[in-house]
Amino acid sequence: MDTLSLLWDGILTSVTPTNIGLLALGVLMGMVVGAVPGIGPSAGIAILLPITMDLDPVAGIIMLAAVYYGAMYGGTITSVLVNVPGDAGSVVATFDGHPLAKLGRAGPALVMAAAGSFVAGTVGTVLIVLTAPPLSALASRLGPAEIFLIIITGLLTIVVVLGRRKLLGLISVLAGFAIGTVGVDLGGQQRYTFGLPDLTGGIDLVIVVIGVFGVGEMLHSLYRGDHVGPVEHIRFTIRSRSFWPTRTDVLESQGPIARGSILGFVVGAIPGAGAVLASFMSYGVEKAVSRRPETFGKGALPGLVGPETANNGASTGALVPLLTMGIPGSGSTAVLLTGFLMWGLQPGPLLMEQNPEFAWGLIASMYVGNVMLLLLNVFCIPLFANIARTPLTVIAPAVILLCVLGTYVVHGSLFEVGLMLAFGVLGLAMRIYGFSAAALVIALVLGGEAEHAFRQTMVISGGDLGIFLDRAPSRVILAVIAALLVALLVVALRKRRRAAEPASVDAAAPGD
Amino acid sequence: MTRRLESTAARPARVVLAPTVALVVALVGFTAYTVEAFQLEWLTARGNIGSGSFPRLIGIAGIVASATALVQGLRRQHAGGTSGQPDQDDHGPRARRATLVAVASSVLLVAMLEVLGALVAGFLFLLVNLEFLDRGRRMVNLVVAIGFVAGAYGLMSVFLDAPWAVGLLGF
Repeated sequence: MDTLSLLWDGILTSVTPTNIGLLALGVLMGMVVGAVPGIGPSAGIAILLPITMDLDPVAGIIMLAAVYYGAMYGGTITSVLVNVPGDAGSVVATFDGHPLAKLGRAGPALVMAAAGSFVAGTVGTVLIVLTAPPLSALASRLGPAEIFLIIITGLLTIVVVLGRRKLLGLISVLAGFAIGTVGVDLGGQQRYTFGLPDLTGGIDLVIVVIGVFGVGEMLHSLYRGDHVGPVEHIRFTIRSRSFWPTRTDVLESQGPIARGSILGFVVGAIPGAGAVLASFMSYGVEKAVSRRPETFGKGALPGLVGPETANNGASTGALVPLLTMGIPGSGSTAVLLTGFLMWGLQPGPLLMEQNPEFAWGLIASMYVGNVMLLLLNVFCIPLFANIARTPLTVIAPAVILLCVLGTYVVHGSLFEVGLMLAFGVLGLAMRIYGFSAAALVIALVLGGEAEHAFRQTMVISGGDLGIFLDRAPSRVILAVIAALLVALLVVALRKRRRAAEPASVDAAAPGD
Repeated sequence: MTRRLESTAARPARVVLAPTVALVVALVGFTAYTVEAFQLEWLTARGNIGSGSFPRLIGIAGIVASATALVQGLRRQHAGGTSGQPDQDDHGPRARRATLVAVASSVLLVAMLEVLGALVAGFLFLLVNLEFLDRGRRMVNLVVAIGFVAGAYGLMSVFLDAPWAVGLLGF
């Protein structure tokens, strides 16, 4: 009942004319940045962060969250129509989405993907309402030792799910931690400031985020040569009957939507797993349960609808660790967290207690936002299809300029603009050489908190590390860390064994 | 995809070298970071953890991780493979030139932001990049550059009243 009244208050907060207007603007902007190939949710929110600075916190975060899930929707349009995923989470949408478009079924594909995304977003929001308060209450009972261990677990999970690039992921995490130590520390001592007054306050998170995601992403798109060569155009009209899905399409999509909603939410709530893993897992599940798995990759509707639903379910699920523990599970939620911090709000166990109008206003706005997204997504598909065709030759320099001007907006400092650009080049280098830009930003966000929690723990225990084994929650988290490390070891051993196998087969072959 | 394979196959030496260089840079960076961390105090006068403790842990872990990745890469390279992360996204000289122009012009943009002002510097930045990336459409590029800078000025300076870089000439 208490939760319902808080949710009702949140609805009242979010449905003011100003907030509804900003929500609509955020959703629209999100869909635009999502539809533009190469930008994606993280870069999109990063670019738009400075623009929301003058808004009040509730309105600002409602708008940024709308950009976030709007971009998740928008990415599908480019995947289906242009065969270029707007972001990593939409890669799977190209597998069957584009073949469907080639078969003249772009309309049903996009409408059903939109319906799936709507269901996932709504189911996810209901699940947030159900899971966030108890999780938040649980998290508020944790001490600094547990908080430190949770942060380490979150970062370890990110490294684990990075697949073959674990070591590079670990280096990215440590680099994020290192950048986070610049400035005056908790004891008032300057670290890594090199006598520069501009660095005394540390490196502003917004600057890193705009550089690594905004500029870095654009430079990488140019480096990849996304601007080279013609873009494939698929034309269709909303007035045609073939634009709308048939009864068979709807029936065929029900299962994938139901499975994708739950799978996406659960996977999204795991730090580091996120939309990419959720969409790939959903594709695997749909193919496994399909009666016609041979159609996958050739234009199977469940192969598009399931992953697309999971993609959006994951983006909602990722808000659970963010709101309840202050742990961003993905690059996009790390950028969202930057927005929270920009307005002086610290996400975590106390957020829902101390700023209920903010937390519940955000959650409630997601219901309204999802309805807006569905309507926009269905009726404005041709408009977004045109945006998706905007060439990178125009987008890349425009976005870089927007990043430069946006960074100047933050403090009016040319030093910070230069620093942002340096982080942009770092972001490019990280993408080229397989490091994880998202892991760097997440570690940077969590680094200060981790150090604070660690130092607090050591003060409480008098420097005794045994404190990490004193309480039951610590022991449980340590067991999870141990399990993750064992998983890492097992994967490494399996990989080594698999690498050795061809040699033994080759050796055996002549004898056979 | 075919073009991607061709481009990586054409420059095997670069493909192998690039990640190694990146890891060497990471190793040097973490070493310098750790050296600086050792100048900071490990414990405070009251016996609590000092400002240098966390950086030392990060630095040492960074050195170990980058050294391990480097050794693994070099071993793989020695065995005849790539050093781990091949330069798969490289799309040839045209894409590299475009990236270089974007970076160089961005540096110039930042340098000139408070000299020429955001309006002029932004317009020149856009025009240079559009002309380089999309040659032969001068009129369109000109309109896009003027329109975009004017739109950004309207949004940030007029609508949001946010800080806007003004040049020596006062605009």
